[in-house]
Amino acid sequence: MAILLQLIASGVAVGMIYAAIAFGYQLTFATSKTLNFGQGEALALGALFGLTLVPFIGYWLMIPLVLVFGFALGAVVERLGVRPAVTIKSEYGWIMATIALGIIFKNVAENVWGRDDLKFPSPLPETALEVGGIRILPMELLIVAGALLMMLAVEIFNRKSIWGKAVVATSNDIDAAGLMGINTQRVITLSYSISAMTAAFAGVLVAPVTLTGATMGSVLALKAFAVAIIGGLESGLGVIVGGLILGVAETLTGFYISTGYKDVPGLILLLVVLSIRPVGLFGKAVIKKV
Amino acid sequence: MAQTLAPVGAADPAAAPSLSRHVGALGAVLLAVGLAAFPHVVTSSYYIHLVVVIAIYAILILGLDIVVGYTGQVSLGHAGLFGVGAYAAAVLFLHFKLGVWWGILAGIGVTSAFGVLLAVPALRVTGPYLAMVTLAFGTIVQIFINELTPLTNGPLGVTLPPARVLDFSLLGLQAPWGAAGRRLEFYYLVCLALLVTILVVNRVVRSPYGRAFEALRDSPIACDCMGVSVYRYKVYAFVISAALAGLAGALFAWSERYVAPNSYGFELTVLFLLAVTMGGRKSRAGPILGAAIVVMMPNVLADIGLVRIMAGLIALAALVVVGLAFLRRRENRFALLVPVGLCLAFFPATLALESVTDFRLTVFGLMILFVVYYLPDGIVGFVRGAIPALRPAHTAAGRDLHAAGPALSAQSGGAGADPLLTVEQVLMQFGGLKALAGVDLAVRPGTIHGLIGPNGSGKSTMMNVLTGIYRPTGGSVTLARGQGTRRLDGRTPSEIAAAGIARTFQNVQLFREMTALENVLVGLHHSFRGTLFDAILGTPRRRREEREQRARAMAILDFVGLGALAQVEARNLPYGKQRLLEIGRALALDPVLLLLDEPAAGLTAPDIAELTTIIRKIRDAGITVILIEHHMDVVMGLCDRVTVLDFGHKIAEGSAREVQADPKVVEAYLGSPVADEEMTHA
Amino acid sequence: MIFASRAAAAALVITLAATPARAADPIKIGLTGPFTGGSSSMGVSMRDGAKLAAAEINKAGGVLGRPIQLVERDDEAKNEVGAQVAQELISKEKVVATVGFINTGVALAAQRFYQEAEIPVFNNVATGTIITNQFKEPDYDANYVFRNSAYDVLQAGLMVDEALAQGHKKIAVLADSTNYGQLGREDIEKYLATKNVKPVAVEKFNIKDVDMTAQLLKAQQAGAEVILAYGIGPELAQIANGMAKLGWKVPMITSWPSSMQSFVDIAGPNGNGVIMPQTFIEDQTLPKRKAFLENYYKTYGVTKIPTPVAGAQAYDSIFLLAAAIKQAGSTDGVKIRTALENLNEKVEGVVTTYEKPFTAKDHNAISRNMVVFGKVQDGKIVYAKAEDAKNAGVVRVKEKTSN
Repeated sequence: MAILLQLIASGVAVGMIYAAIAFGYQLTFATSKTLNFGQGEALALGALFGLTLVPFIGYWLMIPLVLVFGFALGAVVERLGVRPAVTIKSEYGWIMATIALGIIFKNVAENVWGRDDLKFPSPLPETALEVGGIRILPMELLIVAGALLMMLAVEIFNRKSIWGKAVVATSNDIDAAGLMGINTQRVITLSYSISAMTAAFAGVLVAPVTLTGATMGSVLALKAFAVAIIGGLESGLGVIVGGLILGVAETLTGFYISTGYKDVPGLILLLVVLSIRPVGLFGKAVIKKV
Repeated sequence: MAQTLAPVGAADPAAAPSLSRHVGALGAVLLAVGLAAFPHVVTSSYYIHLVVVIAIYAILILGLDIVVGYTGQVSLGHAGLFGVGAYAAAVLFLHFKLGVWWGILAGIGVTSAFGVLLAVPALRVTGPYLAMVTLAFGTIVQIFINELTPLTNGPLGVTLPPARVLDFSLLGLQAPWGAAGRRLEFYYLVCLALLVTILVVNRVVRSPYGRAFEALRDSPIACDCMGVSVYRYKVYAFVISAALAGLAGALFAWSERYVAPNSYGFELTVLFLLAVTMGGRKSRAGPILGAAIVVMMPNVLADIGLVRIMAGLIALAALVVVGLAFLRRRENRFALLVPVGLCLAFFPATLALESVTDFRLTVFGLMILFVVYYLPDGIVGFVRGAIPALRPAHTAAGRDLHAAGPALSAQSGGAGADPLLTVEQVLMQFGGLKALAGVDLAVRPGTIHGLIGPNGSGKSTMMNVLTGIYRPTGGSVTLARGQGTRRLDGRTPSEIAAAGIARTFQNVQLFREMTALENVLVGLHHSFRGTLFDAILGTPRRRREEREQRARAMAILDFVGLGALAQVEARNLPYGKQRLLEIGRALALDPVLLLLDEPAAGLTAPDIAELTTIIRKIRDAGITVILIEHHMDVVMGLCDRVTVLDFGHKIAEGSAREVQADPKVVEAYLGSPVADEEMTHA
Repeated sequence: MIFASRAAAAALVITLAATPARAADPIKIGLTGPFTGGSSSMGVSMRDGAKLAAAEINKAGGVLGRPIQLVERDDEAKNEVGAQVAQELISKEKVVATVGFINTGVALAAQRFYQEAEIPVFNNVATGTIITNQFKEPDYDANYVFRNSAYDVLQAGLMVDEALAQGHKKIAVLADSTNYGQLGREDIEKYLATKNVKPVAVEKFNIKDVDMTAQLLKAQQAGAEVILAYGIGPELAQIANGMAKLGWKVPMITSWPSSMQSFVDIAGPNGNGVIMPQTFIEDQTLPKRKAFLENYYKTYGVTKIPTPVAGAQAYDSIFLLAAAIKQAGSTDGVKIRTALENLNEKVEGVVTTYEKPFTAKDHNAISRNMVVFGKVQDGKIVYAKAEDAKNAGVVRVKEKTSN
């Protein structure tokens, strides 16, 4: 029993990492029906940028600067990658463009910060806490709390601020929002900025427990993509549930079936979910309009 | 009772430039000769192997183009299919010592089966969801190859001996071309495979199958309503594409002679997509060009001298593009400055660098961006844009188009049966909203039946229920066919279309990138009997059918007055002509019942006059028509019988005059407190 | 203005296309490894070590009066790229030999081209046992594959023997899912079988896995007393961190890459006490080693070699090759191979002094006695055993009767 709980606890921590990144996919998909395939690199750049700052100002003061950095990075991705591709009506140009920007970011990061995975100093003690027979790192608790807090903050921003309302309006109906005088182009840029900001934040959040390096984001971003799809690209609750499902499925499969097939059940689940519900678990089924 | 109508005005179709057909043939001959001569001119095994790899990638990318270019779906799973093909061949050798020919057969066979497997979850999803499904598929394949050690030899991979293409020892003979020639056998095998692939893809995309692929890309709903099942043709596209990926994979295994699980990951998929994008979709030259670029790129990027030359050329091209943009005062000229600046800065940057290895991937990324910005249609698309004579042959084919055969053939659908279409107590509920609250409808054969009502009354919902786009919550829809009847509720749109109900759409749903003629040919899909093998082999039956149906399509175009515009892409037609083309396309289905959803919306007065004439002629040919329309004079002038809907209820029915006088109808239209509000309707 | 700049650009392009010819024809040696992506830290250390050696040789007048020119190619750790690079180096660049390969899979995919072209190929990092056995007699007349890294059977044997020597019978094996890890796992299991020991748990992990809880719990539940881990730096570090998280303290013995800087950095204090077989420890006892390390630090502006073993072995591989070319008196592949198999000159490298490192039958320069155990201690790799540390200044030469 203790083992099962331990596995679930680990799965939850990993799942929340996925959820935090998956959340970023949703933000941009809602407004522009596109997403950043370079999200993993945004995460890595955020973590590496944070790592550079930590020795000077410490972990907690570094976070706001990383948020600003991520915000700017997202705007760059939108302006350089997504907008030109969308304006020329290329069906998958944005996929290629964001992948390309991701490749460039990764390569630049390799040359700036080196090719080795680095250690990110943990702001919390690195000895595990023992709670009811299961052992958890304080940092893992911070990840779960931080991810939830971040999603909450974005949600509040969307509901309370005028820009947030513009984001919501654009998500619901981009044409109508445009007619209402909302600068939808700028809203899309904003959503990319927030998206990359959440990725950069997720980067500094997970860096102390994972590896920090130019390639740290690649695998995480792919898993997060799966999570976003399982949950449905339109639902905040979806990413949390999807993340937990995938994270726990991984650790449980690893223990009870085989570590070699660890990733398989999550992916098969994804295929099954999409075969039954093409818009994910929590996605809204659209009524075809003709 | 089959009645024929003479085509109206047999205008000559615009004589389209047909140079393209010759360019294609010329290109094919040049390619064949070039490939045959290459190893005798360049004897270095490195370059010969390079050509082999390019040809193998080209085979896969030609297949990928069917999915990406023609059906418009993004697949990130093709590296996985490639791996399946490679492993099918390698495993056959590992366990049974079977050679390259068996490998090719197994590669094609096994991978096609995987194509079906991939298509199942991929059928219903689009966009990022489809990207993820295919990506997940690729990942799962890779994991299983890695884990199934008894079958695949796991992470260690499989090593193959040199391929023995022709086994002379079986005949007790020596190879007539000696040892040096033997090394080229595999090269020629791959070249042959490439040429065959080009031929097959060419034939498939110009066949009804190819038209179906393009149709489902441009408008899946209209495609279904033309009796062309989107699901089924997506599966076809995936399977053809997978078979080619399998062929490429098997050849790759025998060319590299070493297969390992880590070769077939995400990055390879991106490379394939890049090749399609860069070379140009919907062409044969594009994928070959793209394959050559992605295979040679690592070599070019490894050499600083070559990179500098390339950077110089890119800077030059960027200057030209931005220069032209400013000269022509294009709107986006200032937006272009950023990427152009980057391209220009790249050149001195390469001069400053001593070695490019560390920044190789940056260069690669910049190249992708460059393609996305400036060559969205790829190199081939760019060249075609610049030189119209090179436009694809199949849209311009057939200068000698002539109309033949009847434009309309009335079906003996409800002969004698009255009514033709019976709708009983149909209920359509969206959440709490009853868009149709138990409506009855009876449509008599050979009449024009009007369906009117204020916005939100349920007219379009009725249309969508009748054509299977919505599955009604309750009630039944029955069509009289021959002696019996057929229930239509719960059937798919393509089944209903096949049963003889055709429709047009309120918001025009043409196949935008296809010509007017091709749009009608999609409607004629039902009259093609040829199988996929007919298409691939180019059998006489296939050629005869194509000839006959093209003539028939021309007759239909003439009937709706679009004969002269047969070779114009639908998106380039004026709005009024687009509406007429939709009717023509629907008529091609040889329907017993034609549903017209606001055909006059947005038309000018002369267009409306033309439209009413055509609708009358359709009725006179014996085809029953249901007409949804807001133009009251059109409705009153045309309809034999009119049904009025309001808030999902039928409020009146009768002749046009009776209905007009009905106080309930007047109230519904002229603003009672109830009718003011507008319900959202589909 | 546009035309002017276009002309200028065109002129530049033309000037660049015409590369000036060189006076002394250099001897081209291919240098291939992953310089980008996941295993690039090893690749780059390897490349930089090799470049250092080439520069030293050229400073001293080159070989046969000709300078050595290294032709660098990134294989991206991808098999098919490696195969393509091999053909390019052979047919286009016309190298006389190639050194490199970090990844066993890439080596396996690429080596056959060298074998067919009769050009020696020198593995200085990849450890898969099969690498030097790919073209063995009697199927092939001659084998063109050489190596100066400690191959898996050696490492596996050392790891198992160490575990048994420490008195542990319950052994858990963890290996990454690449062919590097899985080949190593196979060698460990085989060697364990000869000792009549069955591992209590055999687990897998993927590159970039962030959570090793499932694997470690399984090993813990099976009652493992020691962990043998086969993988590369970052993931090995995650195992060490995972053990700390679970509060599970058993000895951990890994394959050589836990000496990578990334392991030391990421595992931090959790990595202390982890031991691994090493051919080279970054100490400055021998003058040759001292000079090499100082030169490396100075040339590349670092204070530590990211992957010392890779750098050191690569450095030695160039010297071995140079000695063979000198002895052959030619750049002919067959002659270089023969020379390598009968090297008369004692080559003083940083790993060891090579005295007849290869024979026609044995293409591995490293023998078991040349490998010591290193131990992670406070961010550094030190000798794990006191007697090794005492003998640090003694050059361990190859045993005459090696396996």
